[in-house]
Amino acid sequence: MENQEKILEIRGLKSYFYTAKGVVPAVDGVDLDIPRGKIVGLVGESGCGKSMTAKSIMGLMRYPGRVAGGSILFQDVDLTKLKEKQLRRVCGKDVSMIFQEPMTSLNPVLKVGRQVREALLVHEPSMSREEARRRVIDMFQRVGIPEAEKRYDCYPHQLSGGLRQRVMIAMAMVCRPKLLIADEPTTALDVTIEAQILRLMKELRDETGMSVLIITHNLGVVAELCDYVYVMYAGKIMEQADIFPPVRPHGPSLYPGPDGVHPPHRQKRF
Amino acid sequence: MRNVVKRILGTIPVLIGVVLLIFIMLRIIPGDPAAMLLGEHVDQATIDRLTEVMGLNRSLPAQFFGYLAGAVRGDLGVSYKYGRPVTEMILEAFPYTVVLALMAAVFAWLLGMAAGVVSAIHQNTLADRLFMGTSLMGVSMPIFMTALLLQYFLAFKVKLFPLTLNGTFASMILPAVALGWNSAGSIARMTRSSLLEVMQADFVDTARAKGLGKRAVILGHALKNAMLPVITMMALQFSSMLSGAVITESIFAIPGIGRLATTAIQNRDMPVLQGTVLFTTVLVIAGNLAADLLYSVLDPRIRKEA
Repeated sequence: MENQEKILEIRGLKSYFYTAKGVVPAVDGVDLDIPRGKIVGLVGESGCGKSMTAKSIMGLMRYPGRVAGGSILFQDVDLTKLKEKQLRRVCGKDVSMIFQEPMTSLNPVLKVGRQVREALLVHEPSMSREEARRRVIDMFQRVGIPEAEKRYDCYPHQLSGGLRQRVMIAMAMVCRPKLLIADEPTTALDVTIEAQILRLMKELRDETGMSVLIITHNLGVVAELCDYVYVMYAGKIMEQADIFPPVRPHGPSLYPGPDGVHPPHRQKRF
Repeated sequence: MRNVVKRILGTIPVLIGVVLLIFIMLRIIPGDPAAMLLGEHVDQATIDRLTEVMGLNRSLPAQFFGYLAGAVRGDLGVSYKYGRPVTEMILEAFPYTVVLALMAAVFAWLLGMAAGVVSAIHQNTLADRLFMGTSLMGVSMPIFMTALLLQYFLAFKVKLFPLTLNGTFASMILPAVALGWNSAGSIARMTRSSLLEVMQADFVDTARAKGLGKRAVILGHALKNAMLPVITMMALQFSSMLSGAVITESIFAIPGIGRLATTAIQNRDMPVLQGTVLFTTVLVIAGNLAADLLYSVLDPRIRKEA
């Protein structure tokens, strides 16, 4: 991975929650690289800081949490140093994100077509609404939404979970991002839909050459989809590995030792 | 649509119940309307004759159903005191109340929503505390106190506004502020808490991830969701303003529905009182219905598939 061109380089990222009872280091010195055009997996148990890493990239950390240190270099620009306004110009256009819960991640009172169109219009304000509508419907068809014209005017509650996640993907893809962050995109979906969504993401990557960071705790997803994988535990990267050739039985450092104690003290870096 | 018809039909038993209740209550309170009307120094024969003319010697059920039959046709009887049809008197007074309630409502909505949104955006800042403190004052101050304070300081001391209604727009401002003050407070508090809650929702992250700025996220995405409970409150407040501006109308001498009702009580003018109470009941029921319908317009999830 070392000699490849990186689209995203995270160095020593620290995202802390400053609570009344003390500081909680959700992300504690994470180093992570995403090569151009590759799919990188980030796995780890619940609460280990995977989602917070993604949110830190997008500047979505909420009070009392914030990025406390480190750098996130996206195409040589440090996203942590950008002002909110400059960061919003990057988000949705060059870097976009798919969330875990398609049920709650869409605004329930707005039509889905409008919500996707908005992603397009906010970055290309000169585009006419008609043109934007056409682009959105094209995108809907591309991500496999049947009867795209009709779905454009649907509200989220009128769509199934799989369709909603396709809408989310369409929203993330409509500006042709260079980096797509997918935070457990299939956790809320059933297995057959999961396979479809994963295939779709791979196809979109092959087609557009974008890079993907996929967060999951499903190692099957990683094996099927990713070129590289990072394993996270308690806010830190435990190991990093290539998927192909798939030789390493990855995750030894995640298993508890004979004493049943989890391994931060036995961590190894690769 | 069928839902609407169903809801409207459902209000009929409520209305009949209300008429019955008012009818009984007005018969229970002491005082003979005929004697009251004729004043002192009148012999019993005259009072009896008037009682007969007014139909008060009929049995109570007969009086009740007679009244009900009239009310359905829009005939609410004739005022004892003024000898005029009650319906006519109500329709005469109503426009004053409508203008007052509208102005108060617009004032309350604009001020309340603006204060609520600003407070939510700048949560826990000085502005937030200032707005919420003021709104708590608004919520806890009774209307008669707000009204009298406004009247004393802004009309009597500083003479910015007329003391009472004189037919100008300026003379309606103080009453509207007094009437709306309370509502503005509760709207501000509700808007703030509702907006703060909605800002925690996942779709707010989605909107920000799209690249929308703070303003676009709040106004374009969060506010519409946050307004759902607030709208219900607004509709209910509006219908209660239409029916319950008794104090404001008395203080500022506005000849609206509230004043009509209070003078009717003072005069033992039963038909007028009955009429105004029935009328305002209809308004409140209509207000509730409107709130429900509005809700389904704003929230697509509630809309029934046709």
